[in-house]
Amino acid sequence: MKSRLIAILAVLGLIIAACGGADEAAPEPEAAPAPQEAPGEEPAEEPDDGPPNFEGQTLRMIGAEGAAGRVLQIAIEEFEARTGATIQVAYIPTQDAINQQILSLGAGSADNDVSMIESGFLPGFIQGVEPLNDWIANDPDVDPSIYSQGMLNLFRALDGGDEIYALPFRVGGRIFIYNERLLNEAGYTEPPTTIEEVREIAEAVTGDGNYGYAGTLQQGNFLVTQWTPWLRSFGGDILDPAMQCAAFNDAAGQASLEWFVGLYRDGLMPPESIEFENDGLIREMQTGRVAMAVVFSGWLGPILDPETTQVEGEIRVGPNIPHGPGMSHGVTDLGGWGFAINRASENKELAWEFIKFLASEEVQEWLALEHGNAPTVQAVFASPDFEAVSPDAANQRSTFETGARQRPPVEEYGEIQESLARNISQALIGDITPQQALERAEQDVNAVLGGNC
Amino acid sequence: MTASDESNQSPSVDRTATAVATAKSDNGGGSFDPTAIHKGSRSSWFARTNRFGYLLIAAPMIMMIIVLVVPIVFNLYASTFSWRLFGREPVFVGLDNWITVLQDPRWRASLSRTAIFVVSTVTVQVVTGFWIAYILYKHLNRIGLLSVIFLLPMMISEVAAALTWRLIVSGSNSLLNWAIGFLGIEAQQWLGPSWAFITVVAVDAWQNVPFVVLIMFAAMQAMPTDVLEAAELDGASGFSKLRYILMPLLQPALLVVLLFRTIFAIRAFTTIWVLTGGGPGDRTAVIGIDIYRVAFSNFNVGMSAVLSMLMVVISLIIGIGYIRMLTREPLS
Repeated sequence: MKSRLIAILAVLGLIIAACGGADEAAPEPEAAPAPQEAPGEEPAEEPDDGPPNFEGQTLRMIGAEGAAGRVLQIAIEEFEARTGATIQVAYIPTQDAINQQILSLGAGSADNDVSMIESGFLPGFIQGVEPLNDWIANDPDVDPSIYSQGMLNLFRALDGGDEIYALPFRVGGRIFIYNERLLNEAGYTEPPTTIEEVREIAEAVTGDGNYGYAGTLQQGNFLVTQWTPWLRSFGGDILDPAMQCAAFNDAAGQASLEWFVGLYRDGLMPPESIEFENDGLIREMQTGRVAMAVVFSGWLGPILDPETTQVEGEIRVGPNIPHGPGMSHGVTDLGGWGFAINRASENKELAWEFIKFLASEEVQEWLALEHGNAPTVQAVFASPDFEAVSPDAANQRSTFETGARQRPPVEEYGEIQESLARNISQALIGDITPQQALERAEQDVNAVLGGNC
Repeated sequence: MTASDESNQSPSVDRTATAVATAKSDNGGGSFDPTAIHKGSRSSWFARTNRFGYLLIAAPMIMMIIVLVVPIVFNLYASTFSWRLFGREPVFVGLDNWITVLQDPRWRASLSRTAIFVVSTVTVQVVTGFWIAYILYKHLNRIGLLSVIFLLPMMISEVAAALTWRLIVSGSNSLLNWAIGFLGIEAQQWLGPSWAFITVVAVDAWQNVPFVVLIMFAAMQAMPTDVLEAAELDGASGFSKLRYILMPLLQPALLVVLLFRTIFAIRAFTTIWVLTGGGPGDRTAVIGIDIYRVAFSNFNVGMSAVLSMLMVVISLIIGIGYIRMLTREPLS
């Protein structure tokens, strides 16, 4: 009895110590680093013109891991140094980051001050983020006309209204890249422009440890974004124009998936492509054993990172995504990341300063030139400096300008994507045929959309 | 009820009965006066003790109702709606979601995969853990520092462990392939369609075998040694000792291990999600993965509620089965 009493008292003591200790142990806000000048920035002459001081203030947010997260972190460190603010980011895998933010916003939570929005999932975010029009109108430093309007439109109201929900930070599209050395060694001096040529070159290159093509085939969002440019370049689409029914199970869709699955099943892609998300594909392209791939334009920077790449000077960008029969050109997916202010945030002023900073021309230029970010400011994209650091920038532009589309802006896109990923993945490993995959996904998607199909 | 069960009845019940009998006799064997229970000093002390006991358990009971009963009831309620978190309003559909889950080949396949995963991983964990514990018991009296080493996999967070394993097994140039290359074994695609399921079972087992080792080793140390010594004197073989002495003596501990590991395996998620995301082609999509996808990727509240309830029901059935076995006589 006595020992029990002692045990209870000990546990109570520990609990009290833990509760009391929490206050004592709570760290003081870290002393902010002294504001410093950004690379190449002139020192501010007047205090009023200098960067705003947010010393001791903290913003919280969820960030997507991977290449986008790495560039974001670089920008955050610069922002913290300039303003004295602290930005706390929980980096998690891309799809989880999107889902958790949507859930948190849906619950009206103030846990996060800023949202990192993937443009294809904007419908899920709209309910919980502030329209930025008033912020933009009241801030002379922000001019929305500097952005590529197609990129800015990715973050506009879905009903055709004027509301802008996020400032674009990192937007690009899927581009076709190739390893010029491997193509030359296989006897090809020009990149392919049709899907028949892609297959032909892939067959010629594959062998001796080299592969013709690689993709992000891990079951999930990256698998779907890998296939959809091909679907569209065959003349197909994900949903019908009314966004009520699946449109991918037509002749174009079936031909595109047959062709795409064939590349993997016939051994023209590395077998481990089935495990790749973005980082896996980036690493694979860096090794120089893969001839062709469709990648997000923002991945070019990491692929060409001089510290890790083995393919310096070998990677080129094709003039467009190769197209299928009956098409005159390929069609890419446009999409990317923008930043928004959460409605429930208690730090909206700081949040605005932060997203304004990320989307500013100065930061966009710096990140694009030095860290391979996919810029959103037109002037940066067109600058000779960008042409110098980004291979075939003109080809990237032409890819985006030739009928680029974005993902269907429907609230159910997560469910649509999940079904497509599951069924395409099963087709890739041979559990079902491509036709079965599209039929099953079509059933799922039509049920989800509830349309009269 | 056995004789030993009868003799093990709760003392408080006996004492209350005595108090009631006393009260009756105080009334001259006439009509029963319940208030008489409180008249004697002993009976009133017990009554006060019980009230205090109820008071003590009231707070945890309320907490349990809030965190356990309310969510389960709400889940049941949600399972009767076609309800997506965003967009259309919830629509009452009765048992439609349940029928869909039980009829749709996708969900049936998911439940079958979960069953195979649970049986595989728990078997590997229990057999491996038991033998490691037995070897330690036979050859080491105290495991001391070794216990820390054995516990390490269990101490590492599941995400960190899975990410580390992903680095070890991912790709044809993986560390594991490099290592087995020295043995002349061809490189394998450990997260590919042929191996992914086995890989996730192996990683899950790696992380949880220490739990089995610890419990079994502690149970072995608590065994009466004289029984084993007597068996040895009688010339019992190693297998006979294991089958007829060790196993019956260790049965309660074994059942506790099985209970915990089975329930944890049913709700496996983190390791699989990090290693494979449920792929390729749903090869590793157990029910925990599907619940996550349906709830947090598709935001389909109704369907995820059905899947969650199924997981609870399956865990409950298995748990009750184990607990019933635990309360029986040991193996004879």
